[in-house]
Amino acid sequence: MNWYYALGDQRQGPIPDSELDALIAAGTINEDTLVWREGMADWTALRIARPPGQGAPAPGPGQEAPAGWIRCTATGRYFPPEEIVYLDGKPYSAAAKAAVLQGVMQGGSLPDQGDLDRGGPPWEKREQLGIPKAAWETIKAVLFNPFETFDNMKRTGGLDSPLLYMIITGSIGMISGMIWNWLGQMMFRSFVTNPQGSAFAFQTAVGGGMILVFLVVAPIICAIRAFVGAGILHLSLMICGGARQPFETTFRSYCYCGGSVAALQILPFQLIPVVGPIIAAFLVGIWEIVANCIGFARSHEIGMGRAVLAVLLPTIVCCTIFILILVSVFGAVAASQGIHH
Amino acid sequence: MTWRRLRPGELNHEAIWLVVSVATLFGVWLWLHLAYPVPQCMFHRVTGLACPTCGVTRCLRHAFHGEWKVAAAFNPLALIGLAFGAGYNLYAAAVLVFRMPRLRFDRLSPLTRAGIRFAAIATILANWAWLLWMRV
Repeated sequence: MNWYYALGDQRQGPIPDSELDALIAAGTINEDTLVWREGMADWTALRIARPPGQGAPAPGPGQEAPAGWIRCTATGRYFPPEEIVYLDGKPYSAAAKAAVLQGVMQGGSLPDQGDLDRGGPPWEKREQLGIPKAAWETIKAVLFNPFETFDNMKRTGGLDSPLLYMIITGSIGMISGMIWNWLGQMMFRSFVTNPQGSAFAFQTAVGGGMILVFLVVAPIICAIRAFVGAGILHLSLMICGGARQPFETTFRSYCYCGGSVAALQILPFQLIPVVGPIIAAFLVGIWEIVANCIGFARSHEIGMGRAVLAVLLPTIVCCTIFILILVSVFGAVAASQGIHH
Repeated sequence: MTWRRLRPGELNHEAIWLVVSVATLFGVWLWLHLAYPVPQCMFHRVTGLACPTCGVTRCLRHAFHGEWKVAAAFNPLALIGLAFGAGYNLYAAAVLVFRMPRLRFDRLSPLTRAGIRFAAIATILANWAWLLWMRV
């Protein structure tokens, strides 16, 4: 049902609950603002017409939760920070606290209603599915069905499960890429140098040795990359105002994206002469950006534009300004060609 | 801003970031020490102008040798970041060893959040202006 509200002497609206919450969060209206909606006899202060503690519903696809509000773990609704209490490290609305504690005292566990419908991805059920099948199903789900996958991704539950996924699939992808690269270089060198020569044998041995070293180093690199990458992107989300969930959620989303995309390197792109490594780099790079954007938008419940900005911000700050300038130049050239014709 | 004990089930950020930052710093130091190639900045090569992160490698290289003034000239924000990281690691090591309460920002008003956000953006832009002015 839609609301009307008084701003100065003017009647504004109608607006849905979600917009009303956004106006409160932005400070445009407050609990004393007069509001009215169908069925009410007269205009009434907001705090009476809609008592505090009800919160805002979880936003639908493409919508954003009110800025600065925190999601109640029990109800899945959003509340201003002053109406939130923490139990067992998780945020609950003050209104839900009594019922939650009563449930715990009766022998129950802390409820996680907001995440009840989030049980995925398949990697979280690896004990039932088995590790190979769970990994394969997760890779397929993230790469080819990312919207549904991240709508269903558990946002809490610790870092160990996504970290293990990132280490296993990321390491396999990294080492596979190195093996294909090594084989591709051997094939190329066999055409331009003497395959029986000592130089060829030395370079082949060095390449093989590097692969053996990476069998040990790759898991460490994947683990550090998971924390550094997720940390940078969480900071980026905070700068863009998109960090609606804790670091744990960003970490989980980042690991499932990064691990799945890294697994693409199992495909032997490097064996394609000249353009193979370039195709692999672009495919992996672009797919990871897209998957991260979708992952953050759905797990943090923010708009796609904000998620895209957060994912691209580190790259824009570093060097992509160059690409933007190039695009502008090409755009200007294309436009001038249009004028001449 | 509050000092409090870790809640049951809460992430131990101090332990995580202490290990990650020490491992990352060691990796960067090793990479530079072995004189492995560092990525070239396309923006700088094409335009001759510094990008917002230009000079970070040179800053770190000088900082690892204790040449703070030279390091600051190459990228002040990177040096500030390094100092902040070192300070955080000292804090993290102290709270872990002595089992002290942790520093947490549980309640930040939207206004404070917005202020921090804009301050961060302004700092990055100011640093970039410095790099352009110094022709790093």
